[in-house]
Amino acid sequence: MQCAWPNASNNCFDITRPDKCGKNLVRRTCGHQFTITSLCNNKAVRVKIADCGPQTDLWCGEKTCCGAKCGTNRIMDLTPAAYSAIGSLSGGRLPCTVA
Amino acid sequence: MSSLGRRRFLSSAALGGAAVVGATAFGSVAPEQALASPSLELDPALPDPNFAEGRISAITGSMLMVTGSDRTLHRIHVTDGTSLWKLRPTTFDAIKVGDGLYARGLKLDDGTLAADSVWVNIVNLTAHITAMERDVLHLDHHGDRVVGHVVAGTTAAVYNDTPAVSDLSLLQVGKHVQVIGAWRPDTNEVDIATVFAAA
Repeated sequence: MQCAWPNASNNCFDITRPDKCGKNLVRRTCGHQFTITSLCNNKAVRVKIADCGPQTDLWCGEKTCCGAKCGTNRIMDLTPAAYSAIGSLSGGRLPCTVA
Repeated sequence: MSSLGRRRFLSSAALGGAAVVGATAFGSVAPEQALASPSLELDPALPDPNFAEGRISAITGSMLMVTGSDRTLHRIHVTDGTSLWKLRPTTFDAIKVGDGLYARGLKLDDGTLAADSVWVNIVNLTAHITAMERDVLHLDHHGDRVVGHVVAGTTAAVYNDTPAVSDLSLLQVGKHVQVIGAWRPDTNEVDIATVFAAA
């Protein structure tokens, strides 16, 4: 189960620039593990960083909601295996928490 | 125009499930939530036995015989309770030999995967629009040309945080998009389910 993280290195951060969207994402490098919990169904999955992304600054202000629970700005990409553990692949994106 | 193999599509899309996180994103996960999630018991370094991907090599009754991109053979059992998607929610008879899929379910003792959900030919692309026609978006997907077909009654657009709408008029040449769609096997063409664009 893998993910991409926008602040995986200096070079990565220079591309993704989450700070332009007001996101202060901590530096975490390849191999670091996160727990991702969907705000839609409370399902969770453990993933580890294997890539750089998404390009957060292209989507500043983007918002998605499940009922009253919303998230703004893209901060992580998940592999299909990881994403499908917490949501439907056809949805394309979902609000979540990262810990 | 060269064709893209499914593997190429899917490896490009492999990290395509964008998670959008809110201001409370970095709060800790409650322990009861964590313990309730079977996926948390998995070592992220190991393959998930309850997930499969590949191309369908045969269909026997309600069983899909699937060859994974790593040549692993999967037997996927589809039941009346399985959620099926192929551009849109669909039925078993729409699934064909040669289609690609992702499946999630429960791996049984006999080695079959009892599928809860099967997504057929699904792709998730980040791209730029290079040209537009009435029913076609021409896309540049990291240097590969992809033809995206607009399907009347199905294709929807989401502009930032708007609800999905059928109006694609706000799409612009040169802009970046995310496309959820269904691959036409062995081509560089997809039918578009949803196109996400910055307004």
